[in-house]
Amino acid sequence: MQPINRTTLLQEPLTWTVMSVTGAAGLHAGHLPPWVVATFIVLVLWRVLIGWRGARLPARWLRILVVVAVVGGVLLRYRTLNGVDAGTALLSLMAAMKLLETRNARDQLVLLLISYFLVLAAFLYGQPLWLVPVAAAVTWLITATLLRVAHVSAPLEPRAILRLSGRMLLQALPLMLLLFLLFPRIPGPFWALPTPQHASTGLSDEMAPGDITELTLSSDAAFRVRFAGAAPPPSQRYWRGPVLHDFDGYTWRRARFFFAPVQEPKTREPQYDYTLMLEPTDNHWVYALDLPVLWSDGRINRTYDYQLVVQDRISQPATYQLSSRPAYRAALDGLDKLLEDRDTRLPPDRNPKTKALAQRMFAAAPTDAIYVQSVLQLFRDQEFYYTLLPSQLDFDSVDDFLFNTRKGFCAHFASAFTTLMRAAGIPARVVTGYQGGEYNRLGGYYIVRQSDAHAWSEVWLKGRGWVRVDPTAAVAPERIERGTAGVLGDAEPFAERLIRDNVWLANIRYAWDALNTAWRENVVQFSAEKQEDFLRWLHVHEPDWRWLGGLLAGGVFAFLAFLSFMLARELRFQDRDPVQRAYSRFCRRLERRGLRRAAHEGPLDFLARVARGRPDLAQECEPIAHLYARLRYGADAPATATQELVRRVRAFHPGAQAG
Amino acid sequence: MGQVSISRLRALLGERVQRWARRRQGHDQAPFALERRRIYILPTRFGIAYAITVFTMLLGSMNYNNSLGFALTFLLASLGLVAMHHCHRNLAGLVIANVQAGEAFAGGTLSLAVGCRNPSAVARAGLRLECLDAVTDLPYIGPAAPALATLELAAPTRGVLRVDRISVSTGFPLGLFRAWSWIYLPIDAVVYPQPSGTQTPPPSAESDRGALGLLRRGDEDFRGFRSYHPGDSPRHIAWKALARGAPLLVKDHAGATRAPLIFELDQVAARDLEHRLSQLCRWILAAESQLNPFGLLLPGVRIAPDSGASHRRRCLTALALVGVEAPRAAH
Repeated sequence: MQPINRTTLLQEPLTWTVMSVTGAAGLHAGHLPPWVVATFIVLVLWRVLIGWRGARLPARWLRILVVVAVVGGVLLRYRTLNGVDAGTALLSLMAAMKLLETRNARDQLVLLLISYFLVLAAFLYGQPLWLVPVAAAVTWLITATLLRVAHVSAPLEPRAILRLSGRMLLQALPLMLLLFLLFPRIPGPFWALPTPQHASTGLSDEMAPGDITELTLSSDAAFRVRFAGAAPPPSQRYWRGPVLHDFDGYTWRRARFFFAPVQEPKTREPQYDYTLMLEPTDNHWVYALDLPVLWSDGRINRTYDYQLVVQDRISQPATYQLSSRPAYRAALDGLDKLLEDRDTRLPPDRNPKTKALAQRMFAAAPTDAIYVQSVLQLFRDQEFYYTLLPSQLDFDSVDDFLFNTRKGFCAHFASAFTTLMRAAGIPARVVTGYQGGEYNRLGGYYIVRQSDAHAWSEVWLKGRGWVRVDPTAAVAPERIERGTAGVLGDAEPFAERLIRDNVWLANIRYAWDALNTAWRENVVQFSAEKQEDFLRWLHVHEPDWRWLGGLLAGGVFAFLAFLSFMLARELRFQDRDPVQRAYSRFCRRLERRGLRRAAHEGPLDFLARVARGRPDLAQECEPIAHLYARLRYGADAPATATQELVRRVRAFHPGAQAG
Repeated sequence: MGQVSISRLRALLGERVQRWARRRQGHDQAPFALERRRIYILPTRFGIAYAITVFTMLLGSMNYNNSLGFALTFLLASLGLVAMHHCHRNLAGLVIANVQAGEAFAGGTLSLAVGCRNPSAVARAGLRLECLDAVTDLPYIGPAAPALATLELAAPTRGVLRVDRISVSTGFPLGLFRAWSWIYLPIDAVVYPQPSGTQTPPPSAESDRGALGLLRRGDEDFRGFRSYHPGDSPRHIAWKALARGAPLLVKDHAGATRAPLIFELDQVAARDLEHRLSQLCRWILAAESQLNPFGLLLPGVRIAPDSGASHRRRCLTALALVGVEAPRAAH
């Protein structure tokens, strides 16, 4: 055998290892801070250079210095070494550090285990469908490297390594699937570790003029909704988010640390039952169709202003079962004093012109309801424009908007309307959320995008309770009927317009979205309940741990037996020639009964020996041996001879010797 | 202290396992195939580290209730089991064709050539042979291919080196498991004395004839042909004559008829038996290299003068076995 070059012995496995570690850490490139990524790259390049030049590894004190710097950096950035974010950063950097002191196979094996762990950590940041092939490729690479590093002395060709490791992973798939379906899922978490931090997306808990405009340019999904029955008409698709009470003349805010007694609303049919699949927002609120009446999750609470909130920040895609009734009467019996006070409060020295206008109009209106109508009429009749590109508003934003710019987005109208109401002493508040939704008929659900973000008002009228008033609808009714796209015009991003105008592209996008949603519903959110459904599908009606354990154990054994059989089968030479295959089978069956054909024995000699040793088999063996001899050596075998040989061999089952 | 008792415990356990396996398997007769029931398999240290990693990943997946995390964890767990089967299969069915001990002098090494054959359609890689303290890796063995590896065993003392057990093992493919099989081919390899000593050999038995110098002109003087006897050096066979169709003849050289030397223990002036044997060994090697026939007289052994490789081996073996119990089977 060719002696292996010493440098290749050291270099080549290391190349594999460097690629594996880089691949695994690369899965985190998107969410690690830039300095971590940069440090990682520098450390890896350092090691690669050392390898190329055949230089010595850095001295111990230098390595310790780098470790201290790295750990210090992570501590400074995250204030902890615990949790997913800090852990991932530390693990990636430590892997790069470990490369710097890697000499032997053992160090590399440790690095490969770390790499597997990094792949797992990548899933904690999200489990989108596209990540699956990427992570699978990295896992394959790590496994191939394992195969390479474990055999430094007699390495295989790189292609053979990739092929074998790929084959082994494929062979592992059935058992993986079995474990995935049957391994008991215990709802966690057991340890409260910090979860990955996301930048919060979607609506925030305050609203300044122009805030929502940025969202309308994003076609990212905010959430998806699957209705159990019919969906409400577009004009009723108001998805309730944060309710804003406090106004400083420019910005609306949620009332923090303020609690009013919850007044149970009176509702009427129809009721809509639906599944809400929420994208992570890093906020506490759950968007529900106005007005939510039932919710499945015990962690959800409905606040006094009828918003659904959860205790923990939503950092992972979440699914909720909700029911809503759009026909409701809330706080019919009168408003709590504290709340009434809060919802009629305006900053005293701000927006004076608006206040004066409100007083004038309110004096002319006989009732509150008529006053509401006259304000809406004002928006409708005068030159107000609904636009995505409103001009910057002055400090007294409502004055500036009503008497000066008159161009605004939903936030401007909601803010102005609510101010006009409060100035007349009518309790009013701004509700933010989403309005609309786009039906994905390929997936059978509605997509509500960030571009559907909306703001409207609620006023409290005596005898009617809280009433939703959408001033935007007065100015731009098409916004409510056709969504944001109906009013965007040229402001719509080019890609969006392209997709909207092209049926094919739109369908591709729907299909991709439906695929991802199905992926999320069935795989990512595979839970104890889904597992139960699956077992029921297997006709296990009252599944308990014994069923799971039994099925699991049986499955594992069946798999291992099958694998063992398949692997042993590969050892045998497969004859392509049917005649040879049949004859080999014949010989194997005889061998099992202690009659082994010697390598030099021809079919007829063997037959003679078999006839001597087991006269009871002679009658069956004779035609087989003769057929084979004739097919192999004879000149004129009939066309049916092969079939007959195969048939006879198939039927040949020599029993153990009688007696 | 704890360390000591643990290693002793391990040694004790290992010995018991040895005895058990040996009772179970009996002696082997080459050639034979490694059947499944005699292949043992256990996880390696790295295999245990891998299992701990997978378990930690399982805990992480459970804690974060992460489906893809579960999937990866289960994939790696399954991969471990698949690797176990591959590891076992890498050994199953391998044929040990023959094991041949070479020549060894005390203080040197004994070459143990192990011939294997891969009778199957799948290649074998990463096989390792171990015997006593010698380790060697078998090369990659393709489908239906043979392979040969040599173990270099230390042969410190003259006499019989008993090779009781050879192990064939493999960590292929992922190094998570190590599968091995013990081969019990009892081989009693003879270790010749270490050739040493500076004494001159005794004069030839018929030195007066030799002193005439008649026949002492040169080793290569060709005298004629004689018929072949077993043990004649192949260098002396008349290949050309054989090719012409003549019977197997041996070229007879003048040197070959030199008066034979007779070596005896008493001729060596050393008190120590080993030193004497070493001196005899050197003389024999010298005589053989000069194509000088020689005989050997040892207590209880009398080997008539002759020459050739088999004669040499016979004499050296006799030296090796002085005062040593006869081996069970000479290879």
